[in-house]
Amino acid sequence: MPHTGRHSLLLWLGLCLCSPAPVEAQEAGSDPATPPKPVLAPPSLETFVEAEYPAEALSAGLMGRVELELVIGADGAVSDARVATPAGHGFDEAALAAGKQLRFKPATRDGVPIPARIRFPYVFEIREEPPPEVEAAPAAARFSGKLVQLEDDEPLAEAKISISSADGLLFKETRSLRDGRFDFGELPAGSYAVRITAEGREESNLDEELLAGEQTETVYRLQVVTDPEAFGATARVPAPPREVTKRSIGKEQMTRMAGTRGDPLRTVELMPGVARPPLGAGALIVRGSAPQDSMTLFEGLPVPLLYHFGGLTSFINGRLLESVDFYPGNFSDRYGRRRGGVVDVQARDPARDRFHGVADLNLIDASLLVEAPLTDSWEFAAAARRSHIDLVFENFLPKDEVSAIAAPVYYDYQAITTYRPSEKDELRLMVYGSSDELALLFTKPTDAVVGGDLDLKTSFHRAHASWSRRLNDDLQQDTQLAVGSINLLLGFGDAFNFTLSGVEVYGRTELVARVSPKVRVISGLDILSVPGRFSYQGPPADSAEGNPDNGPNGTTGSNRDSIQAGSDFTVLYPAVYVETDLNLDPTRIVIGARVDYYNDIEKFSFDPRIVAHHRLSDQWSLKAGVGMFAQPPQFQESNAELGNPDLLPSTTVHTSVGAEYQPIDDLFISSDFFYKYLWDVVVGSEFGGPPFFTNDGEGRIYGTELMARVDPRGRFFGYLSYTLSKSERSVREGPWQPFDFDQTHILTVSGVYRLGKGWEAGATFRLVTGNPSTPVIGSSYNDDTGQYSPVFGELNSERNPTFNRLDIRIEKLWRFKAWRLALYLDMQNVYNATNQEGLVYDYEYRESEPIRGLPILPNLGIRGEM
Amino acid sequence: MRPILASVVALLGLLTGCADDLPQATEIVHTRVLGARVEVRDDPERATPAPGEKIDVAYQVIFPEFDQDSSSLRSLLINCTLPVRFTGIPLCKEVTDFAMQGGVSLDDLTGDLERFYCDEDDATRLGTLGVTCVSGPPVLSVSVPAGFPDEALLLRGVICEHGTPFIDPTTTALFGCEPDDPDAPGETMLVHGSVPVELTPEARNLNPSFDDYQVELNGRAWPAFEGAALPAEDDCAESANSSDLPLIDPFEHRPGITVDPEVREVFDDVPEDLEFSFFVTDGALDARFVVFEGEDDVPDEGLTGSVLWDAPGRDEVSKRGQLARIIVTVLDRRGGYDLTERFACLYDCLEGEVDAPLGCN
Repeated sequence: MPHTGRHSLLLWLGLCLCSPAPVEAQEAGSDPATPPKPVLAPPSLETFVEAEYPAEALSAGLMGRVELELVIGADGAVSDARVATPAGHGFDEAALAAGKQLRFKPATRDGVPIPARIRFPYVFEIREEPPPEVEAAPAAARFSGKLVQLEDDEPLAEAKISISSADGLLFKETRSLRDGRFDFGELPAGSYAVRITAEGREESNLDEELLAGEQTETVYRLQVVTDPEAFGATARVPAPPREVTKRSIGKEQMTRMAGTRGDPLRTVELMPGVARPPLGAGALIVRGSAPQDSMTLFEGLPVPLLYHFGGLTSFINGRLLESVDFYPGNFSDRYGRRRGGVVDVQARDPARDRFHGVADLNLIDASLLVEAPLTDSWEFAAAARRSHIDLVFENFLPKDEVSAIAAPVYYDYQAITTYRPSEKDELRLMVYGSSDELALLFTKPTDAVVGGDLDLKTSFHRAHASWSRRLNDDLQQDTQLAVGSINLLLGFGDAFNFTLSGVEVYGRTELVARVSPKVRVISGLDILSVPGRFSYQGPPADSAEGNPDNGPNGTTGSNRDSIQAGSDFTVLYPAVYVETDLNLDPTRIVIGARVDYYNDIEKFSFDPRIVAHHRLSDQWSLKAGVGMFAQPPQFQESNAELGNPDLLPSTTVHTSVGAEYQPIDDLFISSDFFYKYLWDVVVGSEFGGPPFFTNDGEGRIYGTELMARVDPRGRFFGYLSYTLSKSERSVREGPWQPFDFDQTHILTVSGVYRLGKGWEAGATFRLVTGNPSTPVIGSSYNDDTGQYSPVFGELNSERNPTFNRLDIRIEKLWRFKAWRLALYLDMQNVYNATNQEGLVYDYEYRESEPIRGLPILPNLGIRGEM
Repeated sequence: MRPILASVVALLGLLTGCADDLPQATEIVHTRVLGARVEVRDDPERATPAPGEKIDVAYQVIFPEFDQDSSSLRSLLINCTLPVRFTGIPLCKEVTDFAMQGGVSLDDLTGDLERFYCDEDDATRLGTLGVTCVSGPPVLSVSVPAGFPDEALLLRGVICEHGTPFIDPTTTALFGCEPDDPDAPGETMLVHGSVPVELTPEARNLNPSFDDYQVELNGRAWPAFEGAALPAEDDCAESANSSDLPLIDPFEHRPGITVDPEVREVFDDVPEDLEFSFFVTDGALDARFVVFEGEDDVPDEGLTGSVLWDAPGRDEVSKRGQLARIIVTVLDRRGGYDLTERFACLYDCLEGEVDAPLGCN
């Protein structure tokens, strides 16, 4: 069984791909102001020295990869060497010894040799004996090899390798297999041009000389393309799922889907189990649960204001994200206080190779992202965005009816820095925030009390630190702490005024222990605390669900009873959780439990959960889960002045079963069946009087989901998702009635195709059952106010017509030597479907007209990347 | 987040102008209630009765045609106690208390009740809820029980045009009208409102009065019509004068209101709000409200405001003058109310058939 420290060609390739940037950055940094820019050439390897495979590692069958940092003098000799990425087991010493003997052609500036610092990988791999040659023709050569990622040597599947002979008479093409290997078999000896293309990787073009009677075995390392969708990403090996269903959206997909305006969080709406929010609002409606039943986390901690202006665009720059993980149900005990679904947004590490920047300008906002390494172990990224709709907003207002005191403006910012003080520790500090402001003056209101002004001012600012520490090979601890402020102001004339300001403190620490090869134990502490102050003037709070009076046809502002309240408050929600992950291959079982305490109602909840995965084959797997999910009442429901502090947390039991099928690498198909039962749901008291809220609601939700996903490895990626479900509620043991956002059929087809030459086109089509609606069957004149109040018919007994919409996105990318330029058009509702989102009534609720959904909405943008 | 969502919906609705084609509240095109004036018996300026006092509640019903009167109306009103807190149209506190104490739902409570018609005698089956039925002008008399402990009465009921009012506890509307002629039903006008009770002297409130304010047309005083009888609706030019029946072009005009700041009642050291609403039976208004908030400073020009009246055009008015009517109401937002009407004659001086009417010089 021969072994190797890898062939020289591999090292050449790795060297050529990874060394120029650090050299250039280093040199440019030493004399940044000197024009013209000097011509720099990286060092190139002249003499390779094979590393000796450590005997113990060889006998134990261990393999490894060591990355060295070499200082190459002006004479081409290695003047200093250290291990940058160790592998242990004797590999480090072997690589270091070999690396010091390497000889290079030195780097040059304007032709003058200069010292340079580079990274140089040694890969220790045990290779199976190649099968004996079978009657190879004497003049034939064999050509095979493997494609791996430059940064971590992970195999690259489905990359295209094409070869053409020097005389142009022979052309062959193949694709790498799942393990990254490829094999052209027998070829005529001679010179060949090799071209390698892979999704998300820089194209490689090189020459190979195939010798007669010899097998040429190569390893090609491909560098990540230097575009914002891909650069700077740290390869993360996902932990085994602790949930029945986890749907991850990678960074290559999240900003390119049509109909999302490049917003990663909007991409979640394309997943099965997610209902369509009305009018493009930013509500997350998961498996028949109310928007307030689901939550979105950023790096594991909840975000108070996810979208600008309630749904325009999310607060985070999508190009700073690594992935968006969506859990529609039966999620891990890591997540609590919600009975619906969870979206966990993960930020990526800043770039470690060199400076990068992205500037984006579109019709709605402008953003800038920069990132760079500061030292070998310290990087940063920063992004900021500001809307500019305020510049044109007043042009769209009916000037005789409304004027803008403060035109709508939003901004957000994010800064991330990571620091690795040791091999076992990684620290990350993030600062991020968001602000929205709008003030309108209505000069001709239809309701004198609501008239006057509309004030909206929301903001949050947060510092978020995380520390990941590998205590030993079997024990890891992750700790996060976030502190920030939140400020809300919302006012409608004299009818409604709400202010809240507070300090948010979130903390989480999680310990993952591998107690045996088959057993992992995960335990965690999760604390949320918000001391603050609120003031409220407006109608008494009422049921958030099943209450048509809260909708667009509800009682007008002046007709509502009005109350005033305000006080200091402190929300304190501590929780502990533990999970046991049993890997009984081919079955995995995760058993967990979580205990929460809610100080506002002085109640505990206990949520046991179990999830099982069973792998039937390489293609098929089954999954199932059952668990309890408790949720505390909302602020206005449990606040002593506004609601009932004696409420119980409401609870939902989630059950789901499903199957996953992956017939080929790029295609993933899954189906889930789910049933949820909700009890102790908080509803308004029957007559609106004390105790204002009770736990007299229940719910039942059931359905099935189907998803087919094509991964972005070739030119195309996309989704097909379909959900068939029913969600109902009952109050005080009354009849079962449709949930406000019950959508029986939800079909989404979305895809993106790279046309070539920098062109990319995508489309998303949605066909969704209309939301339920409650008819208005009359009205009563309120002589206190001179306004009419609606009289409602049976709750949610009617529906809006079926919703349909097609969105497209087209992008053209021009590549220049040091930067790229992209022009894109994101057009929502291409054929201007007049979807009805509800009805708007006249002053006495006699006549109505449809509320139309968003019309055709083009957004043209330009983006520069470097 | 629901308020934010609602604000976005409201803003979108505003920007898309989706309600532009719907009837406007300022245009009187069918029989409507435009308010209720509460007067304490023997002290009609006062809108807040004390426990033990009697009140008259006069619902102001406006007909689109000039020659209609209140003889076609029949009304039913119940009076009870306003609940402390409610959403939507309030229910009587007596009913909700009874249901809460008995642990039964409203459906259980009312399920066995049959429809109660106003022409029935057996009003006692409505229990503690006081019920009043009247024919003609909907003026109902209600007594505030002695020792009444709550802050306000609740009045709910229905005014029927050419129909018989009823209570039907099994429906969400609770009230309705049985039309005299099912093929030509009149208007069914559900009403509700509260009457603040004067539990302390500080709670006293007087009705606002248009006698204290100046109604204007195009910046000039526009007094109430003082003639013996209004001229014919389509022949008013000869009767027009310059003050209480001005002759005006069939174009745009500005009805308005001016208030002497000193005449406003003061409550908790703050002048009360005055909310004026304008309505027309002909043409359209660009806005309904002129509001003087008590907490606002009095501007230099005083408390004055107007709306734009797009009067019927030349092609729509009679060649002998078209009588037009504007109704103005005022609420002090504390239970006080008043209503007034103004008349004008729309006349096309170029095409008109009346010789030299006053105002066409």
